[in-house]
Amino acid sequence: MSATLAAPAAALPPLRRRLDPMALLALPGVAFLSVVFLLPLLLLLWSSIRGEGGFTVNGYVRVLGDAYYIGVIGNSLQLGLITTAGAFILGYPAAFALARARGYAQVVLFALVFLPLTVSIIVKSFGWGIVLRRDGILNWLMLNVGLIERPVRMIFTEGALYAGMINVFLPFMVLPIYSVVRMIDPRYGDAAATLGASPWYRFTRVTLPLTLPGVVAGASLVFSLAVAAYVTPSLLMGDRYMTMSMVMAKAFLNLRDWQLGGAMAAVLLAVAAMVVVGASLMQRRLARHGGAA
Amino acid sequence: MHSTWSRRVLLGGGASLLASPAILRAQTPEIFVGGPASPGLTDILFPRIERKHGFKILFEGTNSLINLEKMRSNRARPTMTVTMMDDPVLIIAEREGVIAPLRGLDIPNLADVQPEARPRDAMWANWCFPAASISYQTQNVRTAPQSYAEVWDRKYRDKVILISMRITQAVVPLLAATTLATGKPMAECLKLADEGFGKLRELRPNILQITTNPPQAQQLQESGEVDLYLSPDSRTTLFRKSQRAPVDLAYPREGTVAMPAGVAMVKGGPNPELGMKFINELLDPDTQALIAGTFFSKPTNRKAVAPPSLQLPELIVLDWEYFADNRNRWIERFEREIAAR
Repeated sequence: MSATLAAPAAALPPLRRRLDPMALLALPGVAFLSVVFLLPLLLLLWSSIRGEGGFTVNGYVRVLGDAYYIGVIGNSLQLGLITTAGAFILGYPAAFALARARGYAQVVLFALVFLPLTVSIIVKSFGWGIVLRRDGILNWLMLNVGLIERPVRMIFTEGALYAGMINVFLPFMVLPIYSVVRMIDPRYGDAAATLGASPWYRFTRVTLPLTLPGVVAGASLVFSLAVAAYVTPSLLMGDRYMTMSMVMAKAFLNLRDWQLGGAMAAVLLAVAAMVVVGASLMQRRLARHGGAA
Repeated sequence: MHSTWSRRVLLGGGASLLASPAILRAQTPEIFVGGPASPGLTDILFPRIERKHGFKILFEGTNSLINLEKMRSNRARPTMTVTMMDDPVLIIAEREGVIAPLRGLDIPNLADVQPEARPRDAMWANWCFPAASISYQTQNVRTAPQSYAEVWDRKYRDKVILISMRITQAVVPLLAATTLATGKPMAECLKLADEGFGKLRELRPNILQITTNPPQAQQLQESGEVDLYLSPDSRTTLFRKSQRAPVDLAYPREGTVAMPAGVAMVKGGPNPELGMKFINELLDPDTQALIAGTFFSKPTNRKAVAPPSLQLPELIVLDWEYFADNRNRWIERFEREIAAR
């Protein structure tokens, strides 16, 4: 019996051999995140299940059993999805242009991608307000080219919100795709062309599969950031488009309702975790099937 | 050349250099005051108090609820001596035991402050009463609205901004809706406010935005994007008017509401004697006259004389404890019934 039990243990390599020593390099980062992220997160989750009489799931019942808060979760998911889709549509060709450009053109394109990251989200969001006003640049332009007869309302509309969000998060889509595209050997496309593949066939069967790891990374980044956005929706839509983060701010700062805020934070965390884990699984699957460049 | 600098001299000099900031601080007493980021505080009012009393005021301008969170977090070792907040937040601060009563302290000017500006038996004092009603864009709206009913006029479709119920001034549109819905005087409408939500819902087509960001809303009004804004108080609207911005405050016949600008001592805060001097100076008749002119608000000291250029009507003083007790419920109703798409 003891021999039977001992056999599998003996089959396993010692712990030191199973652990990649390179993993130790992550220790400082793990320690830092444990203090500044994990600990507050645990406190937050604790506040979501702590009631006057002890343990309670009342906060989760209030969030998940209330049509209003379900609508708020829907708003955040919709905002995350549309922002991700918009950033992909604009960012995918931009990443190719960035990867294929040479010399000054590449410097300029890099500046166009990176410089917006150095501008505060608040400044960008205020800027969108100025662009979209009735006396703003966009209305002025459309009036002068004869597209409209009188200024139209664009500010505080969902369209304006999506445009602002895409603007803010676009670099987070472009950069991961760019890093994959620059690794792709252009001769793959040439080889497909010599075998008679049309441009569309080459794109859908060669280029797109090879860039999917970058797309998945970019999409998970943009979605995670957009679904948790607070400043841009607050400034571009205000209370008329409540998101999960806005409810959390209201719960903690105004209502002083830690249970509600903690429960909403846990739901947001669950959504973000699902996206990150899903993206990670997809990355591994793509790597197994040779999707990675 | 022989040096006369010994190791002891060098060490002594180094220690003096390191200690010098503390020595300097000890020479100029200072207090930490938390309050709103209103123009006029740090550039006009505080320098006057510093010059007169010889202490330094370290000020942090932020909103009342964030100030309250800081006071709660530092309850064991308070760093703030005085806090300047809205009454609804001071009521919470009193309940949480983070402020100390002004009654019985060495604040002689408190006796001359009108009774309604010494809430809860002088737990704190109102250092001024800003006025809140309708702020209108003077280039787009040539005649000041005479009644709150005009805000519901369809000619203002997409031309009105409301302040979110999370900000105290949002009580004004709610009271306006209640007085229009019930026919009761505005001064009696706070306890009937739930009856005003139906009328407020009728305003939705006119509402361009419900804001938690008053500076953005102010900018939009001044640029002409919106005509009416309910309700920044006179500290903002009349201040901006004095700087030639195209905005003004209307005085509708239903009434204009006094916003509660309170000042309180933080419980166990450092240098309480300076805090008392600070509050006494805020309530001094001459300083009150300066406050009236600088903050475009009614003084609360009965001996103070407001500048003749400031013509504010009689203001409605509300029961802020009732407001504080019902605010969270109203925030929820407001977001679901008025703000939601």
